[in-house]
Order: sequence, then C-alpha cells, then structure tokens
Amino acid sequence: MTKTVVGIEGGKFMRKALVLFWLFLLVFTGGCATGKPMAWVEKGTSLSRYRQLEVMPVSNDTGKEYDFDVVGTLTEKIRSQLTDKGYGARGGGAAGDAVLVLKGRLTAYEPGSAAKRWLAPGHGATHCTVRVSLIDKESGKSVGEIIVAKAISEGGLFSIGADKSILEVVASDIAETLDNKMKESRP
Amino acid sequence: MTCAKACRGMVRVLRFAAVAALTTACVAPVVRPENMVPSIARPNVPVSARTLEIARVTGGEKSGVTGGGPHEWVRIDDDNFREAVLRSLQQAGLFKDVMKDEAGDYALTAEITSQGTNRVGFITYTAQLLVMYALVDKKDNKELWREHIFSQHTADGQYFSESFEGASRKANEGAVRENLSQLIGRLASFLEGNRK
Repeated sequence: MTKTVVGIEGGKFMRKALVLFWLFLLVFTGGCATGKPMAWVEKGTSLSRYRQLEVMPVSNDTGKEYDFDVVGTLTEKIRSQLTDKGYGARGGGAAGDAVLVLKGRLTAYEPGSAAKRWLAPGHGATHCTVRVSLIDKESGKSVGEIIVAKAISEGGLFSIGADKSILEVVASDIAETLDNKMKESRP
Repeated sequence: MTCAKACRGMVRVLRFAAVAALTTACVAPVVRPENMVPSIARPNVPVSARTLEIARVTGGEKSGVTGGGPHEWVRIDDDNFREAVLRSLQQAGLFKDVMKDEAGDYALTAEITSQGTNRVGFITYTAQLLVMYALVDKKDNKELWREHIFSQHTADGQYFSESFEGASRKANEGAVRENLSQLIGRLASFLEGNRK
C-alpha cells in the first residue's frame, strides 16, 4: 500500500518535472531567428512608382572571410525572394520604367556553433546583419534603407545549419519589408 | 523514493530558475550621454572658424518596459542623443564653438531614422542605429552637407552584476559612440574640403 502511494507521488512529481523540462526545452531549443527589420523611406517618396528592381551584389563590409560565399548566397536569396513576390529582380520590365536599386551590405556575420549552443545555451550564436540602401537609379539618390539583423542564440543541435538558414531568413525579411513599404505607398 | 526526491529537487531548481528569469530587473535603464561620447583626439586648431548649433534631434524613442522583452526596452531618445552629439562635437574641436542655443553660424540636425537591438548571446546584445545628419548654413538656410550614418555595437553584460537590459543599454550606447565617431570623421573631411 505504502509502495503504491509513493509511486503515485513519484508519478506526480515526474509529470511536473517533465512539463517543466519540456518548457525549459521549448525556451532553450526554439532555434528561431530573432530581430525585427527596420525600415526608413525618405519623406514624400513613393516606392510604388518603381516597376523594376535591380539587386546589386551584396558587399562584405565585415572585414572577415568565411568558409563559404556568404555575400553571393545572400544576393541570390534576395533576388529569389523578390522574384517569388512578383518583382522583376533580375531585370526585365519595360524600357523607361523607374528602377529602384538595392545596394546590400553585410555589416555583421558570425556562423556560430550548434554544438556550443547545445552545451551552453546562449553561447555560439549565429547572427547576421544586412543593410540595404534603396537608391533611385535615375537620380542616384538614396530614397530608403532597410536593416535586418537576425540572431539564433538557442536551439542546440536542433539549430544545425543555422549559418546558412539565417541567410534565407534575412533575405526573406528584406523582401517582405520592401514589399510592405511598396504596398504602403500605393495610392 | 529516490526518484521522487530527485524529481522534487529538479522541480525546485526549475521553479527557482523560472522565478529568477521572470523577476530580473523590471525597470528599463536609460542611455547615458556620458557613455555615448567617443574618445577622439582633439586637433590643436579648429577645422572651421565658425560656430555650430546642435539644432533639432528627432526620431528618438523613450525607454520603457514593454511586452517585447529586454531588447526592446532600451531606446535612444532625442534629449540624451542631442546631449551626446553636443558633447562629442565640443570635444572633437572641429568648430570654433559648439552650442545648444540658436547662436551658431551653422546648424546641425539629426534624425534617428532606425534603431534596433537584438540578443546574440545569453547576455550579449547587438544594437543598430541609423541617423540622418544635415549641416545647414544659417546665413542663407542652405543645406551644405547631408549624410545617413549607420553603426552597430555588440556588448556583453556582466554576469550577476548586470541584467539583460544592462547589456542592451551598453550595446545602444556603443552604437551611438560609433555613429558619432563616424559623424566627426565625415564632418572633418567635409570641412577640410570646404575650408574658407
């Protein structure tokens, strides 16, 4: 009888412990990229007049070298995300259309380490910051800026490959932010 | 029995961790102008013989506790940023004098167009700052120079002595220092190129 009571108590505590452990895991193994995009558009400028986008190759302003072509991958991903949203990011469009040039700069990138994140949550973070200047091709003037800074600081082994997947997230945020700004300025 | 004891211990530890995480300092610290001034060597002679007024600073945000988390609590506000610009340019010695009132030959305006902070480690934050500066000649109200300056800074918080928002404050102050350092460099180049 006593044995059964202890068993029930043990079971209750085990359940509590598992729930808390699950919550703990949820918090520390989310593996989600965090950071909201920032955007600025020159007062009185309407981005909706641009019919064509020209994505220039992203430059590496970090002063560091990486194991793979980070800026090349990023450029391709931005182009691809914009094409998916229906923008002529690789050229095309009619002659005489207003062209918006996207000049991207990689200002920070750390590939991080999933193993470090697993062993010590918060350490070995993967992070990436890209600044995109929106330039009117005709005048050469800057009409806007988009800054996307993303970080993956948790997730442990679930976040393996974050060094590459973060670029996809950053490119997606750039395309989404630009799309919203273009829609916002539509009459 | 041993299992139940172990579980009890684990529950206590997790409960303590959850309470500690939830009660970490609930007051957002404000950025301090004295921490936002870059250390730059002052030239012996001012680059410009004219005076500068730090006119308008706009676009800043007030710090405050929100549901977004510590990375959103610390913000760069107009007043502290203006004070930091004033102190930095006074220290830089580019102009004969730098003041806050309306007596300058030139006026410098600053618009904080974007600011953000994100967590990149357990107690490590990176802050980004984008500011549009403009220099106006007050004699004819002509804009002489205008530039958008971007900066970012990563700061680690001290375990046990600083909370998450303490690290966020340090990152934001560092981003301002870096921004003002770039401003001084670019203004110096502009003034050198237009020395009269």
